Amino acid sequence: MSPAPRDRGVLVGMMSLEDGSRVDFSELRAGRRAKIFSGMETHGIDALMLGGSGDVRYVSGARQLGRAGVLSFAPVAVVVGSTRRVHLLSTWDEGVPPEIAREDLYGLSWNPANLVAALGAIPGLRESRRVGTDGLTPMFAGLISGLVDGAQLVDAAPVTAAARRIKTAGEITCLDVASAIAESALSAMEAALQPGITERELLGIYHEQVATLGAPNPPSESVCFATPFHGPVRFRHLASDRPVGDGELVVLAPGALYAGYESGLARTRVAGASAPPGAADLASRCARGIDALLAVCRPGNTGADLYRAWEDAGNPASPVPLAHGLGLGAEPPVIGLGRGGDATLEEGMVLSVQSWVAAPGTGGCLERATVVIERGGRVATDSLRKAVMTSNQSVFNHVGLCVADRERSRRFYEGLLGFQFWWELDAPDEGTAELLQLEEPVGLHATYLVRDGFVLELLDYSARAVHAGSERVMDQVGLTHISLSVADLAGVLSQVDGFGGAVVDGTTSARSAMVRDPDGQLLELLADGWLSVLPPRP
Amino acid sequence: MIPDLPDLARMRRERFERLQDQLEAREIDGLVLLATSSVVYATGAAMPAEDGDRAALFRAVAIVVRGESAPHLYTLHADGAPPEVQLHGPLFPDLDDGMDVFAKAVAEHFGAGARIGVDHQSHAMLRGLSGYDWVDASGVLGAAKILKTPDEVACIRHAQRVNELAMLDALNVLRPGVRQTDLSAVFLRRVFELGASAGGIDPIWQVMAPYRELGPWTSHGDLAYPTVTTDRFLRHDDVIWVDAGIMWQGYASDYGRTWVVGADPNAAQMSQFRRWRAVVDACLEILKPGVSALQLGRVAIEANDGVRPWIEHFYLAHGVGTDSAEMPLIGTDFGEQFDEKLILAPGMVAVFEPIIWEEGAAGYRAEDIVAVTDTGFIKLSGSTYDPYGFAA
Repeated sequence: MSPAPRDRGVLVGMMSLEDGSRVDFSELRAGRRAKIFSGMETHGIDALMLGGSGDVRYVSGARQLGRAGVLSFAPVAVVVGSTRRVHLLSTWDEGVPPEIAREDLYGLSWNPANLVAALGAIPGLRESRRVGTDGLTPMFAGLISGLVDGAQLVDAAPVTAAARRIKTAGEITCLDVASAIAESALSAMEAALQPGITERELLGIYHEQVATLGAPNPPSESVCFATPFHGPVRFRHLASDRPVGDGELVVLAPGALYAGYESGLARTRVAGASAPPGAADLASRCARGIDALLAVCRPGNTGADLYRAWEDAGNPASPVPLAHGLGLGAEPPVIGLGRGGDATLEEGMVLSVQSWVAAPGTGGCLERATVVIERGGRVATDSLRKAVMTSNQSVFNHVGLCVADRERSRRFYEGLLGFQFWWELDAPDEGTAELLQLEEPVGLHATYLVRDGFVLELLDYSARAVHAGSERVMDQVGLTHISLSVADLAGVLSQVDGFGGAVVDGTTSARSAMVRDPDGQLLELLADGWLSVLPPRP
Repeated sequence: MIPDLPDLARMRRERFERLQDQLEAREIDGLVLLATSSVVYATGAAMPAEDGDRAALFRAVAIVVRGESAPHLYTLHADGAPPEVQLHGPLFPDLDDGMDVFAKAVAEHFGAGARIGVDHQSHAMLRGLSGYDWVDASGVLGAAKILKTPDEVACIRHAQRVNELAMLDALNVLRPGVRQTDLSAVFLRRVFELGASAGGIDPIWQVMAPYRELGPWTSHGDLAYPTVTTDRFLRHDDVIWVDAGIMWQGYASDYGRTWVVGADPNAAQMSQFRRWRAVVDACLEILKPGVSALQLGRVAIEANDGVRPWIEHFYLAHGVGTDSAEMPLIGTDFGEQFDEKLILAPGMVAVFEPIIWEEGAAGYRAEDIVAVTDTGFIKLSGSTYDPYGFAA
């Protein structure tokens, strides 16, 4: 939506939920920008000039005209650290989020000299000493060097790729919507699949379905291929005009984009009534492959674990990647084809994982899933396929915190520290009293708040009075404190009082501080530079 | 002269010769190409359309070596490689991981210090491919691409036919209450059934507000166009400017027409269309080898009573090829001196897309594609402008 839509026609779409209960896009964009500015500070980068469509979308949040293919580098978005502003190449404000003001836009030009002149007028850009880009051409390297005289042109990836790698809850929701669109395309293609239909017709049905759902840009038009009974079986990407033969195995592999976020899945189906000989064996080999890959999609594992899982499932080296990152389109890492063995899977990453197996005389079989890397693993593209937890593993649920005033604590954790409300329940006394070792009546109300995968359970009681114990100190055995990193430590500290908490006297430095929540619980706040010096997680 | 359907092998051979001629003339040892349209031009590789960052991460790379007879193609999409190219596995130029493979590939073709044209460099390449004299490939590509062979022109004409046929179905479902994305759904399904090789841009069905002031804000005060398709409902009497492009054998179509929702064009709208026709006809009247872009711009303005009939951030006309907008660009911010030196020549393809605007009554926009021949031009786009009628 433009900052001030003059054209009221753009408002006439289906806003079918009236309460804003879906993704809060302004919060999503603010979170992305905060990560970018914080990364620029960490890496000492004064400005970014970005041309990659995912990077531009990430920093600007603007709806850009969907186009197939990749262009040479050109600066489409500019981020300036000193002014904390994001500038965008756009002649109009339609589709530009309101935090990018009209004066932050620079217009379309065909003449690179005019483009550079427009860039030169961006406040703070010329003074930049280190400028990160996501690519270059010899021409733009010269033009940008002339613009920011003496500045060093460096790789923006430590800022942009690092920010994009770990998804926020809002980003995961967008991916879930994209997953649902992709699943819907799969079912449309499955319904149409029969002997005699061509891959081209299936591609048309795919396009029609995603466009009907309002998401007409496909992440890829490589969405289906039939595999032959005879001769070598190859993974193909281009739709052919040949009618699909009766009994052929057909790969259906639709993806979808929602708000820029990509998801996708693949299944293999038989065209017609009878499967080719060996199809059941091939399908179970394919399923074993994807199960083995998904089982190692856990925080702390590496690409090498995926290679090993694939091999241990009895497969030769795959001619296609085993996995790659997903977010605003495809992202690093690429695991497969000899690459990505060292890539570490971190909580909050999203991967597309695929198992491709083939047998001459039968055909080929592909399964692909979109998986969110978290303890226990979650496959976004198939609610039926649950990752199985083995008996000696455990999964984090929450940390419980008894509070005197639920609303006061929610204000503190949500307003000050950016926790998000997840869900709440009134627990029946029966069972609860025994588990909590409290006498009835109990009247437990539990409220679950989430931040960055951490779940905080606020417990309060309608049928009991809570009481304060002795004030906990850091050398007292037991749980001492919760530690959080914040992008703007000084800014957060200045607001602690206003949200009912207190900064502990004498604890404040540039990098850390102790605060107490409204009930006196100790919280450690660290500047987010801390995260960048930590070794990789196990 | 222009074959009904192209001879694709001949087309690839002649394009490759043009690149070789340019390398020779500019004393460049070869090309390393990463952008989709340049890889397609240099190799003829077919590849599935992919959205921006996917197209980047899994991009194909073309390497052209001066003096060789065929290009090298490094790709994941082996099924789209023409028979004569030397096919290799993918290189992933955006990743540091595996850059040694890329470095080895470049070293196989070029000696230390070689002068190599490149159209995009990732930072991984800047770190890992040192020891060469990298120059911008745009000079070589621009000079080769601007003059189309007859087979290239045949590709554009066929892409355009497919595009126009699919638009008949979309126009058929146009009525109040249809959403922009519903039109995309009908168009995209049909265009693939008819044989499109790949999508190009997200189809545009922009509703034009009757006054500039009621449309989106722009930095120059002129019209905003094209804005991105949404699930907006189309309503009675909406004037929509349609713009779509698909790919066939690597070449883009460019369909531009004006539609009216739920009604026939009224008298004012018909007169806008006639004026649009008059502007394009005035250009076509003088179009032949030797005419300059500046002359074309001047007759267009004159035919519109002195008012520039194109949007400030755009052009009177643009070329089309493996890119949806490429040289010759006529009437852009390159300026009059540039236009004066831009002389139309046989083999150039121009998409004329003037707009006629009338405050209070919106306007008319369509696109006519022509190829310049030895003596004049031939038209590559169709001559129906429904619901406004027919005009040759």
